[in-house]
Amino acid sequence: MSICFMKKQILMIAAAMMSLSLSACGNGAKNYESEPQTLSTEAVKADRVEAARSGMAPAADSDSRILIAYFTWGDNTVVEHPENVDIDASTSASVLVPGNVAMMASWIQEETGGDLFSIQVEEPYSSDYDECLDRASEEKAQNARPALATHVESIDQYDTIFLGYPNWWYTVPMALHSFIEEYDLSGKKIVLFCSHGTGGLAGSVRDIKTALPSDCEVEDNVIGVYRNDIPGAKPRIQEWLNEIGY
Amino acid sequence: MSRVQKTKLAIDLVMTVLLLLVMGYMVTGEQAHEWLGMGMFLLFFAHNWLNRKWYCSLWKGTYSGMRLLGTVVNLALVVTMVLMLYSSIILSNYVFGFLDIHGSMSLARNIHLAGSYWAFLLMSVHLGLHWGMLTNVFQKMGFWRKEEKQTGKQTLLLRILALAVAFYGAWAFWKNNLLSYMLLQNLFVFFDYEQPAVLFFSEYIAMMELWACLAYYLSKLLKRVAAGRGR
Repeated sequence: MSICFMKKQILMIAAAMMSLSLSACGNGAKNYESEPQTLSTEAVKADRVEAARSGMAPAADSDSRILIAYFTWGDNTVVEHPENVDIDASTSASVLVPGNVAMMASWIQEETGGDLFSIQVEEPYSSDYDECLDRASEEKAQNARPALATHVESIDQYDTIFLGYPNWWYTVPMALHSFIEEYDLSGKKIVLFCSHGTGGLAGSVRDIKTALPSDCEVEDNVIGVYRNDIPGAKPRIQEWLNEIGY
Repeated sequence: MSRVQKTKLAIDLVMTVLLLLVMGYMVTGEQAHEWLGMGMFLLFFAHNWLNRKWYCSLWKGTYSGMRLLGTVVNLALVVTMVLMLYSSIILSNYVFGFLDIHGSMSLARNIHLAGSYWAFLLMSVHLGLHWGMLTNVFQKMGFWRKEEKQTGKQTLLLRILALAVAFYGAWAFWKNNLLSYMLLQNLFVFFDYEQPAVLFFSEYIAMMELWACLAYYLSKLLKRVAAGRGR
């Protein structure tokens, strides 16, 4: 059967495709599902976040009954030369600490006095956006449980656990599942907070609820903050904490 | 009706249903989404192959407004579908999971995001531009009453119904912020996981009807203008 295409015509179509794909590239650098812009660190209780980031388990002498456990890209990647990161490009800046979710966690800590805990994987994610996306996508499809490098010493001490995470591929980073499965969270109250890049909470709440023991009391009021709004989100987080009684 | 015609019609019908399902990534889940999309691509190739005469006639004859519109829409659709296939292969975890292909995920994500809504719009328009042809076929098959045989009341009622659905579609298009994805202003789709699947698909059916309706009446207008000129 003969096909009627001629070289010239194929070239024309190819040219049309090229121009379309090029225009699609224009925005390529501008994306991240979550994780920060540069943030004003003065608002952060830098020492506590830093302690959590460096993998220290909450102090043994703390008598708080609230744990604020969070996953943030900034604590789960290695940037070889932070001074070279172009803070104007949001994808690059997002790998710097404190991450978006860490910011949210620190404000929750200020209000509730809970213990901060940064969930960190043994094998850090790439600070390259594409490579990180790729690994996160594969881990999601394989339902992977990345090994964790940080551990909570006495989970029994806490009766409320705030769980914070970015929206990765319309759900939570798989490390959240590693965390949930590592401990007996049975009977505890769980409060969720999320940072996203317009995708909202997506499937995260549903997926976490499924993963948790059935007798957990999960707060229905979940806060999701758009990544660009994070630097000024402190009042919103305070208001949200008031609403849910903290 | 010949066997080829029946095959074509069946393929088009299945494609229409698949299009709606494939828009429902969050309803079907990722794995099903990939296989449904793959089915869509296969039928897309079949549809193009069975209608390959259209490509052969591209350089023949003169272009009326109507023909120009149809050609632009179809070529844009081909380009979009090629981009969708490319981005699908890069993003795939299941269908093409065995291929160790790693392209730029962020580029593929953005292409897939904008491309999917453009493809949805263009396919709906394509459907609308062929609606007259389809109703002729349906009439021959006895599924559809000829417009001349409808009473004035019936015609009016159907038009009001079509208009109401189109308004619902326009509202859904605005509510779901689809333009922001088509223009890559928002790079992450907001999915409402609380919304019942029935409502999700109602909205997409209504949007499909909106674009098809606009295209159908635009094509009628273009034909009338052309006929007026011819006189």
